[in-house]
Amino acid sequence: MKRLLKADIYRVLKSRLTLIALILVLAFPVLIVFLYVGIRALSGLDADMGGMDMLFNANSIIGSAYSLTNNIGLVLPAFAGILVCMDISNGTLRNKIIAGNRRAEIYLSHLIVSILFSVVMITIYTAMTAGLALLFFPFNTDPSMDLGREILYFIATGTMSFVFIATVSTLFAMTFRSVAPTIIFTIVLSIALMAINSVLLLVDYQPYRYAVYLIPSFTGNFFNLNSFSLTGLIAQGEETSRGLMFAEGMLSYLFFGIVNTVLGLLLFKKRDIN
Amino acid sequence: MDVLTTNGLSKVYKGNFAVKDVSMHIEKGDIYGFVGENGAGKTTLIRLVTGLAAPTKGSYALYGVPNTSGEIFDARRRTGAIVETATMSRSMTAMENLKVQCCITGVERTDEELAALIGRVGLDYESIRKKKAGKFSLGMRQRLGIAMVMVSDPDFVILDEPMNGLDPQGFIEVRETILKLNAEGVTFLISSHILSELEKICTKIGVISHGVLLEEIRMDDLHRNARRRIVIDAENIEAVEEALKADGSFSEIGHEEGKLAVFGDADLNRIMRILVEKDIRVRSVNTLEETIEDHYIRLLGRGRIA
Repeated sequence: MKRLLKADIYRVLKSRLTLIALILVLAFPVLIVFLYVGIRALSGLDADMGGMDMLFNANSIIGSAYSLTNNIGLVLPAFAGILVCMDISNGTLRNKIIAGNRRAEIYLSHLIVSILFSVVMITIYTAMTAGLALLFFPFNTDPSMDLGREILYFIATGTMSFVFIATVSTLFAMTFRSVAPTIIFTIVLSIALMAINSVLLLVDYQPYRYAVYLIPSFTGNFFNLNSFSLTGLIAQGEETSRGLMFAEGMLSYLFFGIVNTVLGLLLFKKRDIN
Repeated sequence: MDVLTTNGLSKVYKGNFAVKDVSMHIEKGDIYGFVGENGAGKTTLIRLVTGLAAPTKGSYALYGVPNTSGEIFDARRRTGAIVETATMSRSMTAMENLKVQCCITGVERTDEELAALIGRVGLDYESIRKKKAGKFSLGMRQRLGIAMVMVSDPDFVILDEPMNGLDPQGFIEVRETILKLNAEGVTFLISSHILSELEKICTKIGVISHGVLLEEIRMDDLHRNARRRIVIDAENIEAVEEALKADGSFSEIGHEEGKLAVFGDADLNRIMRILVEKDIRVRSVNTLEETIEDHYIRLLGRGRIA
């Protein structure tokens, strides 16, 4: 397994796709933050926020960093899937099997590298976004909240959402073995999850409590550093502690990630390789 | 000791047998030529024994380790293969591809060793150092593929159509590489359409057609049992045939590319005497041994195909 990981990491580091992804995670935050700065300047809200502080704060800019449907949220899982597909389309996957590597190890090595790629890239993206956003916008804090804990929840659930989606893109890549369906299905699933989230957020509180067990990305709604969500949550969620919700969310990601992996392993073990 | 044994190996695709009840034996030190027409089942069989596809029926053993055993993965580590085409990352250089292959196979090689290996397969390392494999010609990729196979010093090498895309010089280099490695103890399974090339290197051949292994024969036996024939070219072939048949000493007379062929232990002097006596003008007379190609054509022509 270690040698496969070494080979896959070497391959990813040498890939032009990695360089493109790195450029994107560095460029997008600059574009986004300066877009906010520009809009704020054009709208003349610099001096008096006039109630628009809800929009023009660092919380909302940073809070969207881990969204699976924003620019980078759609690109990174697709890139992770393409990197796996390239091993298949190059035929180098065959070399691994011929050399006596177990299929489970091959799959898990791909999965780990996909996760590493996604986590490293999204961490760079979030750090860059946070750094720039804090330079230009205020960060609203709620005195009743433990800020350090909330930031930890935010980073952990956000990172976990990308770990989860990496298990999805690896599953699709190893199942379809082709770039186009891998990208399409990964993006469609991300958008579908977010759409369901949005619909559920419109209904009463009670379904929230259980949605997290069915839709892993739903957790992100509660831990996004957006002061409005926090306020809303506090108003709605007296009966549920933040810690419990966080644990449930993380377990949900973990559970669905494991389901994807087991499914992928079973499918990959039985398939003939062309 | 058998390096590879298959026992009634079968593979069904969409209800059709791609390979049917194949039982073959490759002994240590063999260069086994796998011969068959397009779609005969050569690549399918290679895919089965390399673990790329699972058999529908039957089994195989590598170095005596059955494919159902957990130890088959260790046995595979002693095997290298190119199936259909040499597979590599086209966005990497030859050296980078070899480094990945080192990781995959779990061996450690220095850059110098890898550069030497590149040279051994007929590639000029200095001129391709910065070139991505995607920019290589087919022949260069084939050679790099062989280098990738050899990186782990396997005991058994499977090459599926290794001469594809190679120029005549490439043929010679690959052939010499195979013979050199075989002399060092490496066993080979080589599938190829180029029977004349196989004839120069193989110690044993297996003929497969429509998924069925028709015959396995050692080259020594093939040569020992080879049918000798005397091929006569003349202005009037009918007159030659009539004269030889009238003599009654030649049991099997046939036609071959517009010429007359006399099979078996025919006496050349007697033939010449008859032709002179009958005043038949002859263009050429050649004594020929049966080649793999002749044997293959005869085997398939016999209708032994299931």
